Amino acid sequence: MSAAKQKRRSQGGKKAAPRHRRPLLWLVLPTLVLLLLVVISTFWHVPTRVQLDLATARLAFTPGGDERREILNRSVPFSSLVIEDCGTAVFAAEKLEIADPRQLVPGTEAKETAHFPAVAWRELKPTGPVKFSCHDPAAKLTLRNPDPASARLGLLDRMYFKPGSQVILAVSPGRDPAFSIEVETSQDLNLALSPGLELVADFVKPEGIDPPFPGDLQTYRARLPEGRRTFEITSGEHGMVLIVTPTRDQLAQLFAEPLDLPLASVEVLEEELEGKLDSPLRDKATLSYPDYPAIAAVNIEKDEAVGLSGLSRARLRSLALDADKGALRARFDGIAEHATSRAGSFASDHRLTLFHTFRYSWRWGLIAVAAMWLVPTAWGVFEVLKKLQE
Amino acid sequence: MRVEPIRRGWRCRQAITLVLFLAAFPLLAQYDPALQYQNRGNRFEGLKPKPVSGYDIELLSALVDDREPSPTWPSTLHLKFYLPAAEPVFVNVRLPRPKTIYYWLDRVMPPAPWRPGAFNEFTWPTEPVLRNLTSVTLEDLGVVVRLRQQDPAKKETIAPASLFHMQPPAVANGYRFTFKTNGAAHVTGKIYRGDKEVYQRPQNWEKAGSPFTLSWNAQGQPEGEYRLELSGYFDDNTPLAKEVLFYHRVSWK
Repeated sequence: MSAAKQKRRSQGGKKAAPRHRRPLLWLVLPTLVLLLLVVISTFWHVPTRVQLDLATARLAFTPGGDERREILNRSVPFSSLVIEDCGTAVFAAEKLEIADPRQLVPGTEAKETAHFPAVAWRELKPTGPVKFSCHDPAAKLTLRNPDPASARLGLLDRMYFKPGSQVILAVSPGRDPAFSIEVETSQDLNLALSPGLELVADFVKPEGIDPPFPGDLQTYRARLPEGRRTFEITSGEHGMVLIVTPTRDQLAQLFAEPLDLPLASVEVLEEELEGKLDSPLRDKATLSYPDYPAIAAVNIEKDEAVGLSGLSRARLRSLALDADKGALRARFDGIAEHATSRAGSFASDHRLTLFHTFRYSWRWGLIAVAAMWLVPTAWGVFEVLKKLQE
Repeated sequence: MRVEPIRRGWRCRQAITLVLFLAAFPLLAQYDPALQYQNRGNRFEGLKPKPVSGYDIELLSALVDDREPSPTWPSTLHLKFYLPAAEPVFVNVRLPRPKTIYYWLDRVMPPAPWRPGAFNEFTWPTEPVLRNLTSVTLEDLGVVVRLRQQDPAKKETIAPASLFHMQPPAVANGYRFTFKTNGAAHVTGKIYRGDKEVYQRPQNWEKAGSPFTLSWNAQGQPEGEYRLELSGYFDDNTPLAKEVLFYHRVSWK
C-alpha cells in the first residue's frame, strides 16, 4: 500500500480506529471473541454419556469386558423351543415313537393344533441314547410338550456369551410370545425336560434309526427316563439360533436382574427389501443425559431409526420382554461418540455440545465464568501497565 | 437445465446425511467398507443391515437340489437357470437363514441379455465379499430368480436356479424352496401340476422369521409348469396364502 493511500485512510478516519477509541476496542474484543467461541460451542458436539430407554423388536449387541457373561435368568422355563444351526442333539428315551406324516389331522384355526391319531404312531427301538445330527443346512429341531394343555416342557440351560461375539435378540409377538437368541460362538447346552417330549425334526435324521416314513419333516414322541431327563444340544461351529417360547407366568422374569452387561457395541436397525433403513422400535424411545439431569430427555418416535456408536464405559443395564408391545425393553448407559436418530432423510445428532457442558455443569460453568472474567481483566491490566510505561 | 445442480446438491446433502447416520451403526461399520453392499460393476453385492419385509410370507430361496460340497470358497460362483420365455429377470442371492451378517446380491447386469427358451448363467468372483465372510459357507446361500416382477408378491413366477462352482447338475432331480413367515403360522405346502397334487409337506407350526424348506423330489415328473401353494393361518387366525409358479426343466445339459 502506498504512503499516499495510508494518509488518505487515516484522514478519512473510517478504516483505522482513532487512538482514543483503542481501549474501548480492547475491552470489547475479548467479549466478541468469547461470543464467537460460545456460538462455535453450540455446534461443537462432544462424546456424551447417554442413557437410552427403548422398546425394540430386535436388538444386536457385542458384549464387552474380559469375562463370559450371561443375560438370561438361570433356568428359564419354556413351553417350546426351536433350534436352528444345531450340531447334534442327544437324549435318552425310555420309549421312542414316530408319527406317520400322512395321518396328520391338520388344525383349521389358531386354537386347534394339528395332531396325530393314536394309530399314526409307530414305536422305534433305539439301542442307546437317541442322537440327531444336523448335517443339512436346512436342519431345524422343534421341542414341545406332547400334551398341549401342559404349559411347560423344560428349563433352559445357562447360556454364556463371549466378549466380542455378537448376540442378536428378536421378539416374535403373537398368542404365545417368543424370543430368539442368535449367537455366533458355539454352545453346549443341557436342557432339563419334563417326562414327555414331542420333537419335530426338519431335515434331521436320528443316527442308527431308519425312519419308516418318507419325508424331511418327521414328528417323534419320546418318554424320557426318570433321572435322565436331559436334552443335550451342541451348536454348529458358527453358533446357533434358539427360538424360545417362555411359559406365560415367566414372561417378566426372563432376563437377569440387575443385568449390568458391559457392551462393546449395540445396534437397533433393520432394512426394508427396497433398501430403506427401518426402525424396529415398537414404542417411543427416550434418550437422556445422566450427567446433566437438568437437560430435558429427547423423545425418539418409534418410526425413527436410532444409532449409538463409539461406545465406552457402556452397559446394558436391563432387559425385559414386553409381551403386550411384542418388544424387548432395554436400557443402555454409556459414553457415545455418535448418538443419532433419523426420521425419513433427516438425521439428528443427540450428543451434547460444548455449550451444554459449560451451561449445565457447575464445574465447567465456574471455569467458563472465571475465564470470562480473567480475559478482559488481563487485557485491562495489560493496557494500564502499557499506559503507565508510556 | 437449472434444476440439475440443485438436485445434485440435494443428493449430495442426502448422501452426507446417510454417511453420518451410518457411522452410528457399529455392527455394520465393523466390517471393512469394501464388504458393504455396493455397485460392483455387473452386480450390487455386499453386507446389509438385517433385511425385513412387510410380506406375510416370503420366498427366500428356490434352488435345484444339487449342491457341490465346498469346504472353502471357490474363486468364482456360477448361477444357472432356465428361462422359459422372454421375461424380465431379477436375481437375488442372500442368506435365507439368519446369521449375524446379511449377505445380499442383486441388480445383476448380465454381459448379454438373458436368452429366452435357454439356460442362462451368471458368474461372479468370491474375492470381493464372500471369501471374507468366515462364518458363511456356500451351502448357506440361497437364490431367488424372479420373473416379471422384482419384488415378492402373493403370487409370483420364478426360475429355480442352480448354484455351483465346478459343474452344474446334469438333471434337475429335485428342488428346495425356502420360505419364512413374519408371524407364527401353521403352514401346509403343496405342489401341483395342473390340478394334480404331486407333493405335500404336512402342516407345520412355523415360528416368525424362522426359515423352513420344502424339498420336492421331482424324479420321474414330466417337464412343464408347476405350482407351489402354501396355505394356512397365523396365530390370530388371519389366513395365509402364497403361490409360486415355476418351470420344471428335466435336463440341464
